[in-house]
Amino acid sequence: MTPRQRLSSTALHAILIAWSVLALFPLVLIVINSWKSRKGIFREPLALPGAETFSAKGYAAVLSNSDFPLFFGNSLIVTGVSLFLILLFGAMAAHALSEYRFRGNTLLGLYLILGIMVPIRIGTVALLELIVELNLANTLTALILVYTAQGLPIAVFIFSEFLRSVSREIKDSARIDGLSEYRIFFEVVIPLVRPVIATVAVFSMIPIWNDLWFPLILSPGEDTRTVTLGVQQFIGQYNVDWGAVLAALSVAILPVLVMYVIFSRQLIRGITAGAVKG
Amino acid sequence: MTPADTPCRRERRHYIWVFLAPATLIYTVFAIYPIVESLRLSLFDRLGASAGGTSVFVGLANYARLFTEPYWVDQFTNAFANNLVLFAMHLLIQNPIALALAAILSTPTLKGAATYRTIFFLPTLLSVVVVGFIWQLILSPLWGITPDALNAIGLGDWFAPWLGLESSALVTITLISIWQYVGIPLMLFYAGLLNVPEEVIEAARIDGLTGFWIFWKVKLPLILPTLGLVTILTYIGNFTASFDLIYSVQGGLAGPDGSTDVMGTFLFRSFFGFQSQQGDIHMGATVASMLFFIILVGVGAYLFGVQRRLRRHD
Amino acid sequence: MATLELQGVVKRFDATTVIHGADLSVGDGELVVFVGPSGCGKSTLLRMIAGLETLSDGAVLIGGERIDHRPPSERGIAMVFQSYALYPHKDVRGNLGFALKHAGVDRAEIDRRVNDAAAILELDAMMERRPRELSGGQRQRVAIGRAIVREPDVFLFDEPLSNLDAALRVHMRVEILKLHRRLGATMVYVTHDQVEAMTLADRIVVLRAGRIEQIGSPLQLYREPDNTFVAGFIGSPAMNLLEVSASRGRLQLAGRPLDGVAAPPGATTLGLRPEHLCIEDTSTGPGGPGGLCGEVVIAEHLGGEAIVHVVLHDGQAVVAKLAGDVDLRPGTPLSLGVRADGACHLFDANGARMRMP
Repeated sequence: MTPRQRLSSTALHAILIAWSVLALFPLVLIVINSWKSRKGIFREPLALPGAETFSAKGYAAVLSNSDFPLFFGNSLIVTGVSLFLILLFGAMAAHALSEYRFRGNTLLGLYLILGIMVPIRIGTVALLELIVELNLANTLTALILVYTAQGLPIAVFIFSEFLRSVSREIKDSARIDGLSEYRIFFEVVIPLVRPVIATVAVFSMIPIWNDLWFPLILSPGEDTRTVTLGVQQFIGQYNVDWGAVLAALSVAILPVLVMYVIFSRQLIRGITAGAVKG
Repeated sequence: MTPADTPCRRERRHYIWVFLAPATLIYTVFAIYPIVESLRLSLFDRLGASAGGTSVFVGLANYARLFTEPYWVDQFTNAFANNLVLFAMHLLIQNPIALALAAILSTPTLKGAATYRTIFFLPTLLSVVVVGFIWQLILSPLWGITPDALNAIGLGDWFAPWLGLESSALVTITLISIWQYVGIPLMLFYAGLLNVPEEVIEAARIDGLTGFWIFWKVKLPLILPTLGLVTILTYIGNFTASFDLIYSVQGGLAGPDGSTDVMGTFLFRSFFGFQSQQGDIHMGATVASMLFFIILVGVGAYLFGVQRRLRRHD
Repeated sequence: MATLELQGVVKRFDATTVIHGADLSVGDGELVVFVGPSGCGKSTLLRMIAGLETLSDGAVLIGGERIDHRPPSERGIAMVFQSYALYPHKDVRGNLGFALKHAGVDRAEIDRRVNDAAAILELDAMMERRPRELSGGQRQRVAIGRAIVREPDVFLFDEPLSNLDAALRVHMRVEILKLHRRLGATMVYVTHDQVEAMTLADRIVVLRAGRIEQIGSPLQLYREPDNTFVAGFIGSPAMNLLEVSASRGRLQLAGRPLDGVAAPPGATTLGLRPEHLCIEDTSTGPGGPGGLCGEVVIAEHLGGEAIVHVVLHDGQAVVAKLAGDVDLRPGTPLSLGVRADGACHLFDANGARMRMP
């Protein structure tokens, strides 16, 4: 590398490192301090927990006193099932739109994709009425249905863009072999869309997992709280006990962090490999 | 293969409808219908103060109320103005930062790009509640981290409880939001930049362009569609998703003194009520409809004005 | 003078050596073709000349000056890519003039060069079109035009015809030859297609696994391949490489002595080109060495000629290119001989050519 190249490379890395510090610092701070006693938190916030300042009291308070596993489980169920339905129904619809010719194909396609541009929250007023009428208030089912409806447009869009670029031949050869259209979908098309499944999953998953609005409005009951809502209420309770608050935050972060680190490569590959069309 | 008595293949293609039904059904019932119904509700009002009254068609009377009654107008204009500030800051701060980071990350000779990517996307994954609270702690005068840090670099006088001050709360919250969400435009830009064909870049190198110029003259023009997409997504997200952060940090009243109130929190209060404010389904629907129109105008402007000129180059 | 020299050029990727010491001297105005199977390193070598890859060792000189430390734009080269690499957001005129515009060249000069290139390549009618509105052949010409406009010392072509259909490829080959004649420029051309190599090159560089196997004019490589690889690579259908044994100055093939070929000791392979074989006419006596006896497996009739696949008595396969009017059914016994104007090539156990004593 020429000296000029080395200089600009260092400068670039400096910028990247600066932002990395900015991105990580708050998280590191919280986790470090969650293991400290109150004195340690206030006197020396930036120091690692030492022999004097170490304390697990915060965690004890959190883990014994709360319904975190429940909240977490709720979030998992809601996100997992919604994601599954979004992927399945989205792929089915995209397959029908891109593969078969029928009257109203274009129109239906536009109708389904419309939802990307129009956020579902606008209909919340009527949505709540509908949920209540269907007797689904304070259920996870309500959340699942709403999130599925919210995530379908972009799933249909990404899947159909992708499927359109795949040749018909492999499906035609399956037809010649006598497979029904359903079997073709499950055994030929689904494996074909694997590259974009990760993209759709990422785009859909994050808004669902982090959402505060719908759990707050549709299912605020104690049994059906998601982790986001749960943490929010919980923090309200523990306003003065810093150790517990920090521990709660760490507990909230940790599972996501762990899953992310494990799956980060697939995640990023999904985003960058998928059809990011303008 | 087919028995003689089944009708010809044109009809009875059941499977098409089977494939389309679940998505269309759920989407229509839980996404489209509620929006339409909310629009409809905004045209009605309830006779009688308690929840026993019947609904009566009042035309645009609710909208008139929204724009004439001081109670409503003030909140609406305040929320709308704040939202515009939010949008402007995200557009002019978040997106350029994301673009710059993506541009750096996409240079082929960069080492450790994967690690950086992982780190940069991390805040985006966190729950907005967690993020809001973390920053509340960090910026809190009680804990003292920020004042100490500023003191260390000699800017100690600068510090103020920004989140609690009317003059600075909105900007502070927006910066927190930018901190968290930079990952999304970052990924979209990054993917767009990676899609520029390798050989076009090599041709540019042979033509004499260096790193920055290659970005400016070759990559940037080719990712204009992505830029457009990111802008419109920022617009939509700002009017809807902003609720979550503000609600969890500043509460339903979006204090201090409404200085962080945005359309999302305004909508929430309108139809749910909050503390002293009564909820009103019809006014809530009206606010929601206004929000809908605002978004529609933006999207329309994008689709017809901008999108047309940003044709894709394949 | 636009001469090109490679001196001991080596390329390593981590622990793997991809190019093992390449030496080459290209004269001013010569069209040299790098040819070889996939993975032989020809593109890598080209990219090192262009400056898109660094050298691990050795030097590259253009016009006598060492250029391997310079960035691509300062080497006096221009490159035509396999996928054309046109700027999608610029029209043809914009694509042609882009590099000059960026370099701050005077507007009048840019116009002159662009218009000249457009005239040579017959692009005048489409100067305002975008790449996506052009056919493959048209895009290819724009790519070549972009190179011409830079007035380089050396033109580099990286498999430019691979993406075209067969008919267009034949047509463009001729166009490139005419272009070379017209410009008189030094050109390095990379291809995996030996037909392209044979028709275009002043000299061919045959590469295999990162090593230069032989350098020579097309006819030289055809007539005097240095080893079995080059022998089998140049010429279509490929030269027959038959196992023989040599004892006491005579060759044994398929269990029978082969007369008429002097056999140095150590010869293990006999090379015979399909077009140099003929059906033995025992009445008039053999023209050259004969006695390859076997049976027809398949005969491919092309009209003017027939490609006949024969299996000898010891199981070895031989391909012969014969006149089109032979009627040979599978199973017909056949005896082949070498034509009077044909050549026999002998190779030793390492595949190297042996001189006929």
